[in-house]
Amino acid sequence: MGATPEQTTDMAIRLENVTVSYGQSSPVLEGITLALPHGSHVAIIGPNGAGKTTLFNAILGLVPLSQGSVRLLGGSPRYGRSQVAYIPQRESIDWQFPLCAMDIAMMGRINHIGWRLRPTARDRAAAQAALERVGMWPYRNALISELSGGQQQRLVIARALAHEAPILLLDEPFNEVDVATQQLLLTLFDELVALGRTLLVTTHDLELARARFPTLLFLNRTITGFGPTAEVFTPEILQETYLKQVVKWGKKGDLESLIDDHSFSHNH
Amino acid sequence: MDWITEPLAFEFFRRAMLAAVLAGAIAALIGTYVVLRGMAFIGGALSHAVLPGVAIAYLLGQSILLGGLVAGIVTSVGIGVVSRHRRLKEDTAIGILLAGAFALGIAIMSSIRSYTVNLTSLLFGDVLAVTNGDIASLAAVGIVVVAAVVILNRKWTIHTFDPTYAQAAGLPVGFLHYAFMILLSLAIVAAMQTVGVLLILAMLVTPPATARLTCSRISTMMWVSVAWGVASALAGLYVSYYLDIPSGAAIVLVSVLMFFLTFLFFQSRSRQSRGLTDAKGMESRS
Repeated sequence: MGATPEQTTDMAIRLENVTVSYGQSSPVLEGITLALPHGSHVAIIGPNGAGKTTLFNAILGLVPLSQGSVRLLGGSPRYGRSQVAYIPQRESIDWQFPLCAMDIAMMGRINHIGWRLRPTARDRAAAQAALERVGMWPYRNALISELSGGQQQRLVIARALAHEAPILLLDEPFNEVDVATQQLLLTLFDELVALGRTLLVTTHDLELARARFPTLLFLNRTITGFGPTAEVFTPEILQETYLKQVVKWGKKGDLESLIDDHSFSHNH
Repeated sequence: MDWITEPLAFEFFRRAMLAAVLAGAIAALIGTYVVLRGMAFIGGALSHAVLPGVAIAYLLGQSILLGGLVAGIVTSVGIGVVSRHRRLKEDTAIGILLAGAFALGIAIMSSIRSYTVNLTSLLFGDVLAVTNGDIASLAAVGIVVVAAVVILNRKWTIHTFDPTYAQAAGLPVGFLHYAFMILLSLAIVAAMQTVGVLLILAMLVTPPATARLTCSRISTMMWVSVAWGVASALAGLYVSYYLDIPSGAAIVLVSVLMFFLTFLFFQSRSRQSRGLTDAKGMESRS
């Protein structure tokens, strides 16, 4: 994080001492300082209510900051957010909405379409490529209400691919998806990072984060750990991230065995 | 077929028919978004809130359309401002402004005491008193609404389906919201003369809801909704003529009847298909 001023302009995302409060007495996020260069591939880990979705909203400039500043691609979030593809949690979307899969993929082209009434051949090609990449092209005319959970998740990813944005923020993309979809997404993420895209992915799956992400960000109101996976996936950081919440978790034993498990496999 | 042609001999009936069809189509088109966004309560609030605007327009001798439009914009901004307060929810803000604006409208109307203005006709509609000028205004509103839908449909759909994505993608969500509120106010003022302030909500919500039962794409839903809106306006006028009941009530009753017939028909169909899959499940289990 010791970036020189010249490198700073290359940062995809930069947060300086960011605090978000929502008018409550205790802030949801506090003193977040973070600099992510292009091509970052980060899993964000933390218990429920740790502020993961709020962090995304802060990056996009969608919540007022009580303190601090956010720079997106070297500019203000207002300017930069059209360059960010945000993939909200699948559960936050009304899947009964009367649309087909192609309609969703085409939504990703909205910034390219602008005020034109019809998408161009280029827009159609991009939407098709996005659907093909996630294996959803055969379902392009299917109603979104008829798709399985895994297919719906692939579809919101296709919308982000069609966007062709340099930064992707993914909120819990592995939640309740089938194994095939999970593998497809992991391979896809590696490819995107190889192309220089920046990916921030929140997940509850500690094992998956450890195995498939080069960088981890532990979050619980403050950043409890950030760095290369091998360095930060430690029992101390896991405890600091999760143990504050242990009352909410209920079963303390589960957590301890989980941490023991990971520290054990980590040592090998 | 005499029963169809008989009322058409009257010019007032032909004019009423044209006005009702235009108003029904406009309300059904814009109502598609109202139904998909779950904004029925806002639609109800705006339809009540145009009353003071209309009353003041009468008082000042200005266009009713303009008065209603201004009142609609003021109310939708008011709802936005009040619901931004952290301790209040949007439906509370809507409730306060709905009743407040409506009371103001009644107060102003009752103080005018002029035979040209009739509170009852505003509340319940008076489609038989429609003038050629009214029809011209309706047609103009229709053109504006259709043009706006053609231009904004793609962005409105994204904003309705996934507001967070729309915001994150940098769509002008504030503009989209208020553009919609303005069009909704226009549609409401336009439909006011046909069914009256109290029944406009039915014209906004019932035809799109009927269409939603059978359509699985937004584009088809819009067309079918407009068809239901036009059909209920036509059928309602005939019912009104032959049963001698107020036209607004007749149009709304026909529209609601169509909804429940569709609802029951598709309810029984979906129950049948569910029954089949249940039977299959039983088979594989045994």
